[in-house]
Amino acid sequence: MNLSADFILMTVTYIVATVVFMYLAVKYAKTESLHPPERESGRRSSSVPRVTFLGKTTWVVLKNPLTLVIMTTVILTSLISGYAASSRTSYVAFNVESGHEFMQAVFIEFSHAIPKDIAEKSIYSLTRELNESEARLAWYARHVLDSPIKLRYGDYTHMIYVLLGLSTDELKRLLNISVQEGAHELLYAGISPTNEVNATVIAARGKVFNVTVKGIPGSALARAEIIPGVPLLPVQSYIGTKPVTPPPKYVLVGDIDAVNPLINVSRDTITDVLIVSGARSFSLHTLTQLVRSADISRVWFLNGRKLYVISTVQIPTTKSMVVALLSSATATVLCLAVASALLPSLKNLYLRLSIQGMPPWGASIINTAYTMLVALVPGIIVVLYSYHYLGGVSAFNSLISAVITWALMFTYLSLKSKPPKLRTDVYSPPSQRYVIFLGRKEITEVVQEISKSLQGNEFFELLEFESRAQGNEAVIHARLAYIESWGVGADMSILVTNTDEGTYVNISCIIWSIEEVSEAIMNNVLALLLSRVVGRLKSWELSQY
Amino acid sequence: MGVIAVLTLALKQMLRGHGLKVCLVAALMLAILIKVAGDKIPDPVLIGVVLPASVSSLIIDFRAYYSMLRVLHMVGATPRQVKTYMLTPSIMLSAIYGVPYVTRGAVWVVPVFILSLTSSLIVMMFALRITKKGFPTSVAMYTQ
Repeated sequence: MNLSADFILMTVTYIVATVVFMYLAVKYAKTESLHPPERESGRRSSSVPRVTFLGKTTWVVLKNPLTLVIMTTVILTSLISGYAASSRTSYVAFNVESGHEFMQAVFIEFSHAIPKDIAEKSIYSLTRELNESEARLAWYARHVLDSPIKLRYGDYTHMIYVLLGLSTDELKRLLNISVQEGAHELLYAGISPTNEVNATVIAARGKVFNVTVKGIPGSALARAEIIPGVPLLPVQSYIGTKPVTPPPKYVLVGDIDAVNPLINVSRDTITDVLIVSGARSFSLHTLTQLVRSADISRVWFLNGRKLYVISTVQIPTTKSMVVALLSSATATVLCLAVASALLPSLKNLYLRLSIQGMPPWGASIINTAYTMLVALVPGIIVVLYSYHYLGGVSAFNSLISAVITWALMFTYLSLKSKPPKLRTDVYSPPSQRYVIFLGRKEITEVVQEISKSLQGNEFFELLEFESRAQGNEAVIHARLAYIESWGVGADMSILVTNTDEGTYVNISCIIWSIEEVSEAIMNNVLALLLSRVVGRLKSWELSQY
Repeated sequence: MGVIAVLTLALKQMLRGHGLKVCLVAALMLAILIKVAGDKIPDPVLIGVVLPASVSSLIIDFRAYYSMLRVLHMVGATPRQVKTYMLTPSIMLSAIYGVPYVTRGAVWVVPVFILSLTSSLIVMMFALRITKKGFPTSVAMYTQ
């Protein structure tokens, strides 16, 4: 059995990862099972595993119908973002040395070896308007082999990884070597440039070809450039901006007709084409369109002293990013509106759970799980849909929308749903009761003063005022409407008692509202009313000294 | 309390709440989206987004709506007055959501309006259903 090193390495990695994961899972299960449910006592255990508890609580929150609204919003806005995405072909430009004989040149690398007639059709949009007297085409067959072929002569055997097939004109132009057309001569850098040997090429499946091989200088082969900046040897990778090409000793060069049969492909199979023009025949826009439409891996475009490398990589346009951000903003506004409607019940739930012993991080985990399930999971589904049906750029746009919406919604829920802390921001509402001691006064005067404080009031309209004085006591009841807000009012009960030490005024006040107004507004109204009565009585007493 | 009073009440409540603000912001965003890339987005997706938008705009003030419906129920409002109260915010929001779609042609406004109105009324019907379950504390206090 022939096992590669990669296969063995990856298998070992997977097995180790699986074993580690299983070990951790068993360890976790053992830790949890240290506190088994108390079945014998008949009581239900309170040590329900944490995961089950958090999962069940998340499910309770998920069951809220508002979840559906959030999910719909995320799905639709992510789809909008995906559908509205637009992209452009990426390219980079370099400055190259001048002095070449043509004004413009285009070198097209096809994704794989294809017959020449199909290649001609692919680039027809480019060549149809070319003037034949000013432009010329040169075909290339540059094959990088997965498994090498052998070149054998005398006692020597060389491994060949790259086959370069050029037309005789290109051989003359690039390597300054004349090869007779149809002579089946090959060129190899491992032989002295003056030598010519009879050799055999052992191709795949042991097929043997008898060929004549001439020597060429390796340095000339390594230096040769199809157009300035584009090496003749196929580029394998880059170190910085410097291309890395295979060493010439692994390369066999020849006429296309001589090279192609060695790897059992038809003689008209090509991998690249060079189009040179003495006039300005090509534009960057036409070439980027060509890259998008044809099965091309890269295009090199030489325009004067500028060399453009146009790749098939598509990048989103600015407009596309604007749409993604707008979709995110729309989704966020709608989701936050729903989340704020969800908050009261969520806060109530967390408060009750924290009383029952839920740790503070429990709310964060539930929030994370909830927002992930309602925003991120539908978003990811849309991303996968976009990737499959609309392409990578659309998927990227959808992903941006989904992630931004999820992040903002998670932040909002986390900040707003926190249970109140006991130390710093504890909430202290104003008291509904207030007791004030005054120097001894006449009961009727006190009642009259209270009545005045309630009547000339810019915040309240006095609706009812009742008082009854008997002996040393007086009871007052007042009903007031808050002017600044519709449907908000106050009921006030005041007990005035005269004792030997002085006059004792006990004020009790309840704020009511027809609508559901916030607690903060109600407390403000309460504070306003109490301060009005108390302030009046205090200032009245001060004026008497 | 006449129909006009109920109408004014509903409008005042809308202005005080957050729903109208959400609606205006969302409508503005939708208008820009339609202007920038409306032709690329399929019609069902573009129209469909109105559905969660309308619901979100109403749901944010849901408590205010249902407590007012309780009050109307309590004071013996006629069905016509209740309908007026329910329809006013729904129609207002639906009309606002229809505006961004005008750029795509007047034909678009009608289905958008109908969809938005339907979803808004569903929310309002839900509020009306809750109304019949009991009275809030503040109202109970008021009636004592």
